[in-house]
This record gives sequence, C-alpha cells and structure tokens, in this order.
Amino acid sequence: MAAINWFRFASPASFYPLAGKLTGLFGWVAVLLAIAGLYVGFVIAPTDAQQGESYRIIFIHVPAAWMAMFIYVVIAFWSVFSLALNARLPSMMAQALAPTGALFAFIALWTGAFWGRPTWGTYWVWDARLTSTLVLLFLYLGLIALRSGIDDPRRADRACALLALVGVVNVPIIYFSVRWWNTLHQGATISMSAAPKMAQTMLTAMLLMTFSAWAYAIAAALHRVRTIIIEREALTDWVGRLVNPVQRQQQP
Amino acid sequence: MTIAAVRNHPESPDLESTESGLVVDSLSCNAGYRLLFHALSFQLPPGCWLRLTGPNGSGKSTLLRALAGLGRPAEGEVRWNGIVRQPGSADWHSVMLYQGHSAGWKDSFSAHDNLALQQALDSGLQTDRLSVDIDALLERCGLHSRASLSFSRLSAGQRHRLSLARLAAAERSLWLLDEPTTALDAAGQALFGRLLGEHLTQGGCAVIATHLPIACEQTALELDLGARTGTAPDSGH
Amino acid sequence: MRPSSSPEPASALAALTWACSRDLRIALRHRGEVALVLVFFLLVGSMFPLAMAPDPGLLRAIAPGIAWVSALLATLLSLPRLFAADHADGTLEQLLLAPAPLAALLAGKVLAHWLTTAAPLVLLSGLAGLQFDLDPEDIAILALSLLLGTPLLTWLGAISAALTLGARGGSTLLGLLVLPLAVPVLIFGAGSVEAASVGLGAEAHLSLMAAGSILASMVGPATLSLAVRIAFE
Repeated sequence: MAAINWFRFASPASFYPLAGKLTGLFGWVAVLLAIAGLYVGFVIAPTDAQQGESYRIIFIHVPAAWMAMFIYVVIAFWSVFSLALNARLPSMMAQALAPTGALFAFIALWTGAFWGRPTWGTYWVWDARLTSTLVLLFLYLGLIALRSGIDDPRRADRACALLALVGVVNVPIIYFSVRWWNTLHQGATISMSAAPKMAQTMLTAMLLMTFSAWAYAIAAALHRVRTIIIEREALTDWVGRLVNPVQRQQQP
Repeated sequence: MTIAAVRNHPESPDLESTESGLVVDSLSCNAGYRLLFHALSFQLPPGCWLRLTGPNGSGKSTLLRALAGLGRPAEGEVRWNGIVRQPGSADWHSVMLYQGHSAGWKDSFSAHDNLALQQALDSGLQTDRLSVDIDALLERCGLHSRASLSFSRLSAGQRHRLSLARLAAAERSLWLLDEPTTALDAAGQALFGRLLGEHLTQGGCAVIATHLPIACEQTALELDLGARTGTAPDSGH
Repeated sequence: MRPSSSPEPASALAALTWACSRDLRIALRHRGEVALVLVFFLLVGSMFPLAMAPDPGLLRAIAPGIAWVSALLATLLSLPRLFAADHADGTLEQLLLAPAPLAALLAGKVLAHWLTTAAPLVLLSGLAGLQFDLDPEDIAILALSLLLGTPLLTWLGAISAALTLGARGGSTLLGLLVLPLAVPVLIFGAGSVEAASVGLGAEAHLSLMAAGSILASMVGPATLSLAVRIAFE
C-alpha cells in the first residue's frame, strides 16, 4: 500500500479501471451492512415506550439525512480541487455525487413524513431539520440543473464547482437560520431530534445503516463516474480501444 | 506563406536573442468535447500581422479568444516580449485589444457617448488621457453626421465604423480582431487598411481572422487553421 | 511597439464609478424596465389578500412575509437585466478585457443595480405596509430590514446570474439557484418585523442581516469576477 503513487490515479484513464474494481467492493459492503443494520434495527431493537414500532423508520431517515449533508460537503471538497487545480477528475466526482446526494435528501424527506404521520398525526412538520433538508434538496437540484444547462463540459465543471462552494458556505447559515425560525414559532415540542432515548442496540443499528449508506454512496458515485469518464473522454484513444478493441488494432 | 517561414520572412526585422512581439508556444484548444488544434506555435515580430484563415469551426475565433485571455487553452503558453502573459491581468489588457463578433456597443447610447465611454475605459480611466477628441475621431471614420443619433438607428456598417474609431483611439500594441471588415463598405475597408498600416508602422502587431482581402501595405504572415489536423492524444491529466 | 504609451490600469474606485454611472445612465434610458419590477412587487403583494379572506388581523400577521417574498421575487425578475444585455451585445466581454480591475467594474454594476431595483423597493415597502395595515413602526422596521438585507440578496443574485449566463433554463434556473440561498435573508428579514411587532425587538435580526450584507459586499466582487470569467470560458 505504501509504495503506490496515488497521483497516478489522477488521470481519468487510470482511474477508470480502479473505479470499476472498487464499485463492486463497496456495493457488497453496502448490502451486507444494510442487511445487518436492518436486522438489528427492525428485529432486535426493542419497542419504544412512547412511539411503538413506527419509530424504526429513523434507522433509514437519520442516516439518509446525515449522508445528504455529508455528500454536499464532499462535493464542495472536490469543487475546491476542481477550481484550484483546474483538473477534470475532481469535477467528474462532484458531478457523480450530486444525484446520490439528492436521492438521500429525498429519502430523508419521505421517511420523515412517514415518521411524522403516526407520531404526530401529520405528514409534514416544518421542523428545523426537515426544512433544512428540503432546502438542501433544492440546492442539489440547482447543481444538477446548472450542470445540464451548460453545454461546454469544462465550463459546466467550473460553474458547478463555484455554485457548490457558495452553497456549502450557506448550508450552515441556512441550517441555523431555520433552527432559529423554528424555535421561535413552534418551540421544541414537535421536533425530529426528539428521537427516543437510544438503547445500545438502536445506536448499533443506526451506525450500521449509516456506514451502509456511506458505502452505497461511494459505490453509486464510482459507478456513475465511470459513465461520466467514458462520455467525456469519448474521443480519446484509450476509450476507442475500450469500445472497439479489434477495429482499433486494424487502424493504421 | 506557411508558419515555418515566419521566421525567415524577408521583411521581418532580425530577431534578437530576446524575444519581441507575440510568441505562441504549443497552444492547444478545446471546444466542448472537440480538440480544435494541437501544439500550435508561431512568432509574430513587431510591425507584422498574421492573417488567420480556415473554414467555419476550425478554431479561428477560439484562437483569438485564447490569445485575448477569454478562453482557457488546454495547454501551451503565450509570451509577449519574452514575458509569459497572464490571462485576465490588467497589464495584458493594456497591451492588447480584442474585438470579437459582437461589436461591444450599447444600443441605448449614441455613437459619441459610446465611443467616449469606451475610450475612457481603454485609456485606463486616467484623467490626463481623457482629452482625446472624440469628434475628430468620429469625423475620420465617417460617423460625424450620425454622432448623436441613438445607436440603434445606425446600420451594421456604421456600427463597425465605430469599432474602427476605437482602434484608432486606443493605444495598444497588439490587435486581435475577428472579421473586422465584414459589413464595411469599400470606403470602410480602405479606412481599416490605412489604420492597420499606421498601427504596424508604429511597431504594433495584429492577428486578424478574416476571409476578406485586407488592403494593407504590409504583407501578412499566413496561418490556415483548416490545413492543420488535430488528433486527440491519450489524455494525460 | 509603443511601450511608453500603454496605459496604466485603472484604479478600483475609478472603475467602480465608471461602471456604476454607465449602468445608471442605461437604467435612466430604460425607466420602463425599472418601473416594471416595482409594479410587479406591488402586484404580487396584492395577490395574497385576493387569494384569502382580507381579514385585517390575518393580513397584518402575514404582511412581513408577503412583503419579503414579493421583494425576493421582484429582485429575481430584475436579475437578468444585470448581465444578459451586456452579454448579448458584447459589452460584458469588453469589460472582462479592460485595463481595470474586473471586481471593481462588476461591483459598480451591482451597485447601480441595487440603486435601481432594491432601493426603490425599500421606499415602496411603505405602500405595501399600508396595504396590509401595518403600524408605522412596523413599516419602518420592514423598510429597514429590506435596506439591510437587499445588498446580500443582490450579491447572491448577481453570482447566480453570472453562473447561468448562456445556460439553458433562463429565469427559472436562476430562481432555483437563488431562492434556496436566500432562505436565511428571508427568515431574518420577515422575522425582524414580526419580532418588533411582538415587542421582542428587531436588533438581533437587523444586525445579522447587516453583517451578512457587509460580508457579501467584501467577498462578492471577487466571487462574481470568478463567476463571470467562468461564463466566458
């Protein structure tokens, strides 16, 4: 491990096969962790005294909300490299992560609604975390929409990188302002953070699901980035060889 | 005349050991997914101009924009008088003047106001340089009678003449012009030829993309982008 | 070469003044476009009472929120005016290539835009307040909150407008980018009036918005320059 020159993987051509191998690995890790986590969460963890069985949805809701937030920070991290080094692979990683982040935000919102209904009788509560997640979803959609609205790929890279950085600076501000707004208006009675006191098994299930979501996010992003690499490098020789190994050999 | 012969042009001054003029070193430019040209190199000594030709889409505008500093070349370097040019730096903007397809004039202003505003900016907003006689410039370019009309009332050719007035007023060493004589009538083209001649005589350079003949005394160095083929190499980084 | 006659680059203040006065002159010649945005502000605000029972108590309660949302939408509508025209006629390109600090030129444009869009909104908010029967003190707080919050809003909008230059999707894409980022300003802006009307005092809200606007004005020019340069790559 120590002697690997990591910078060798900074070119899309050499990253492509590595991403392929890692996708499978992380995919299996995600599946195994998810099975373990769901088993612990839905079968082993005890029934909650106040909320009964319906609280178990937090084992999906909370990891999804965390990952939605975490992935945005990772996108911002790649965006820094994209702008500073004017490199292609960080931009491609950022592009690959955005749909997964949006998906997690969407899952967090839906599972939040399903939790809210049996617990407080309403599908949507304007509590701080749910509302922040909603705004986060819009930020993701903005990134995706900007990417598809600009034709030139390098320009789209840099524009989305700048947007991600402006967004990441705003995300904590948005979160705190929404929390302020929420405590002013509703008090702490209805709040997603009023989760049941965590028994040890519940915590274990939560961690297992979080790591599963993390592994899934990595697998999905690597899988997506392979497609992006092929699409963006379509006119290069190595992609030509990949697509048409026989024909390429016959060309002079 | 091919690029290889640029250095051996009989009319170009002997190149000293330190570079003078514009030097383009291994420039490659992309447009979207396509590689437009690869490893382009040429040298343009003071007092010479380069005619850029090629079919549509061959990269003439992209090359001019890359030289001006608007687009980012994939690789390569541009040097002016031996110093590497920093795209986007105000110093580079003081040296060169770029005119693209869009003329860069506001329809809301008259020709006089447009030129006055642009000339003020071109001169770096220095108060001691603002005494340029706008009216005399307009007269030289044949726009005097239309100076105070709203710009939207002028024809395309008249608008292009204002660009000529700007060229005459701005003190720049390098002109980067994209189709400057399109829409100009015969008198306008002759005027441009004279302006270019004066500019070159004073030691300036120009890179001009055009498919029209330009009536200038000095012969042009030629670069035909259509004759170059670009193949995309294995992408490094 | 004419080495001695290459002009020195312009100073930041001169560039800012040049750009601001130029844009103000253009706005003066297109007064209709400017007025349209203000009319839209009043129009949107008028829609809400029409869409619900015009109960005075209810209207007074929702007035700050409606005023702020209307101001947000009106600003959004005016944002294309900032760069689209200059982009289309090639003037923006020349600004990028001028021997003057780009950040100062763009700051001048943003200042002119704020003066012709947001500043009149601050004045008009008084009218909106009357429509909703707000107390004079609350109207004053509303106007002050708009005054302190709109610079931040304008900078966020300008950066988004620059990023979407030449992108498909137009104003809708611009809205998708600006509105989530504007959530904090909205919360504190409308919240300040509410806090004042309840008696809690609006100082905290207003100070936060002022701080945000000052910070945006410091970081905004450089970020905007980068965004505009990206748009021309």
